[in-house]
Amino acid sequence: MKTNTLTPELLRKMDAYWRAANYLAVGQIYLYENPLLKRPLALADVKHMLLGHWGTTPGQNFIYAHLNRVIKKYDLDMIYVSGPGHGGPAVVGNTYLEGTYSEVYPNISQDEAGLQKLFLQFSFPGGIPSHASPETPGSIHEGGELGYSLSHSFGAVFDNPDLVVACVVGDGEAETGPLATAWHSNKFLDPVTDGAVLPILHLNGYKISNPTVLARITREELEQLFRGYGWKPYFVEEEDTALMHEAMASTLDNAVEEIKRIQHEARTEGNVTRPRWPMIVLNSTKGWTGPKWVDGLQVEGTFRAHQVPLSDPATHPEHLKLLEDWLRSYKPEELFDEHGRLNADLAELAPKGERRMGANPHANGGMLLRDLRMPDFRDYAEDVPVPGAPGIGDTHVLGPFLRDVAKLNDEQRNFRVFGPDETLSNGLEALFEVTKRQ
Amino acid sequence: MANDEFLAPAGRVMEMLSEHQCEGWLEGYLLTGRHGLFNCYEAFIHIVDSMFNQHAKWLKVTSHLPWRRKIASLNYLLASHVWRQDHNGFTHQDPGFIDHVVNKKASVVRVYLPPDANCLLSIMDHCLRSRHYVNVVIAGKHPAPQWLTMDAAVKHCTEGIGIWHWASNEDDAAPDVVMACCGDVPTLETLAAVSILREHLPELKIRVINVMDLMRLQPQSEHPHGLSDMDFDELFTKNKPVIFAFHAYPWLIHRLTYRRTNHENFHVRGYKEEGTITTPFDMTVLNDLDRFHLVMDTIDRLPQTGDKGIYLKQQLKEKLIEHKQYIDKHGQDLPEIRNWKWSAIKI
Repeated sequence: MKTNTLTPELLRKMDAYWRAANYLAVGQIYLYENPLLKRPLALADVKHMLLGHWGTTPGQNFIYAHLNRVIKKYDLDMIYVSGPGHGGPAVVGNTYLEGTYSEVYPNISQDEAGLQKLFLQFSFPGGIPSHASPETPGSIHEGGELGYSLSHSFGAVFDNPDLVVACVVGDGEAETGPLATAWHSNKFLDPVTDGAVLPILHLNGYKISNPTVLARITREELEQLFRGYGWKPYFVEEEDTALMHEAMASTLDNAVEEIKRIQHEARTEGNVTRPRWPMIVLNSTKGWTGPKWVDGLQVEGTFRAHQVPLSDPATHPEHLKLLEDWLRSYKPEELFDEHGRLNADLAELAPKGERRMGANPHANGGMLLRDLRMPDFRDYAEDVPVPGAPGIGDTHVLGPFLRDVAKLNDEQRNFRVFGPDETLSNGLEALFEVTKRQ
Repeated sequence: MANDEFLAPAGRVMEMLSEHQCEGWLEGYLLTGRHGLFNCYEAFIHIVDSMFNQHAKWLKVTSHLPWRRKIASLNYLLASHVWRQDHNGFTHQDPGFIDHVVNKKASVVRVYLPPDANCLLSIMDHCLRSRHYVNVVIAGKHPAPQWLTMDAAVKHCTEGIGIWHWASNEDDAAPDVVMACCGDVPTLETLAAVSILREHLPELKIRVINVMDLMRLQPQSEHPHGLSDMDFDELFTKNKPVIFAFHAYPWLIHRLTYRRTNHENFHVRGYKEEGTITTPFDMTVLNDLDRFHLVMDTIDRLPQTGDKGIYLKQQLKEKLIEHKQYIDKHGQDLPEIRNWKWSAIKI
């Protein structure tokens, strides 16, 4: 694919931003001290317990950096959902780079001392977990238990017409029943009153110790699968890193413009046919940019990159050397100034204020929560002249109350009733006097 | 399509035959600052046990993060519950979701079993206004007797548990037995049992307690809604038999009350995994939760009922045989069961 979405200068900066995020991720997994590698890496600089998951992280860092670009280019109101397990270092690192993390946690400051604390707290007693846990700014989805990223994303965009959720779906997660069903959520999305979900299937090929199903079916099957679900899949897959950047950038531009076109046609031209929403399949190597070979075994691009690729530097001096080479391969001295702050020319790549995905208020929903307008429930009372008076069925009494809750909040569009085909059967038929099933 | 009903591109009701999607969509909707309700068959809400876990964990952690603002509660309305799935059969009968729910942090879980429609209205109003909880409400959908006026329902829901004076006859004397109930069908069976006891053994002093807020039973130290030991002892006495008719699996009541003074006198009836396609009343009979079993349980624990009690027991055993023969022949419950009314009892 030959396109020119990125100027050479922008390409260089975006690659540097991605390296910075990758450096932060490796730092979180390994480093106890010496966060900027100002001195040669010593064993004492490395955490005793090495925990965390490298495999998914570089791909998510890549995605996040590219989403930052389209948020700025199109002024998008976007949040990020990290579906694959253990993507924490990516989301934590990126919200740190964009500044949100330090605003929420001032002790994790934008300097060397803050970096050291950022690294130390990860998977450390009293620190933070390795998922996009509730402590992570910008997260509405921890991803500890796999399979719900896509349904959470759709829930987020219902009645949020301006919101786009970029939902990274892991190819392991994609094997679960709930996730497999969630692709059908596109049939329930109203392009007029709801926002959009942009699924990004992260096809890195492996789970803990097994290949993934979606990575082992043919390209044709994969494409047909998603077309069958009603999506329009775009594939991003290049050997060369620079080409990957260009492919991701141009594909994201296409996807965003397509979302905008669909919404425009539905909202201003009244097009009521169900659209075929775009999605992206990102085919990148597991453990991308990490150690290629360790102890004579291939790591990058295999299941061995899932967790900690270099697991025991204490008893393997060569692991310490590999770790230092790995960290230095990102050239931290080109990314952070001497005080440990991200260089200004890179920092400007992140969106500003609430456009930063870590600071978007949709991901801290309580900030947007408004009370429901409530009818007086006493007005719906059953007349009970004596105990034992006959009743029509308790939920049938509740139905008109819920109907009026729906009616009173129709304008605010902030109340919905969910159920598996049982609203009528459960006696709530009165709801359909004022609303419909979407 | 021509025969579709109530469908539109935009609407307030989301239905897909995937409990996972309903739950996931609702969670996403709540996490981004909106409100909602999940209505589901009681037996099949188990499909999302694990998703509930994860959401409850999220609520627990975020409640300790000052920068995270509270979100609207996740409200489950479980209608089509175990006791009225007589027509759908054994697979549709499972009240175990609340066993699972009470495992989670007490600060985020609430379980309500309104005995009638006015209580259901009152508690649903509360749930929709509440923040940062998981509220489970279990309610019936079939025609059923109503017990409380709206004023009384508001009081009952506010307290969550209470003595129903109008059904009790203890007055100023101490009760001989406490008949407790939790859930709409157990409440009906308990009141029917009380009316039998009061007709045949009028000298018995009976206290009727209805539990609407299940977590009132747990010790105050374990759940913010838990009754103090003093309040609990005052309600359930320190030493009188308690015949407890419960909506779900009976061991849950023991689990919640094991530390209470009078726990060893608690005799709990509930669903014990007996069911099939049968009549509504037979569902209770199969699980020993019916009015006749409740009366017999009471007599067994009150030696002072003497020969009168023994004769009554004999009569009720015969009644159960009559019930069985009748439903086998007619396919519906005995007229005296179908037409039973509390208001017909002279008090």
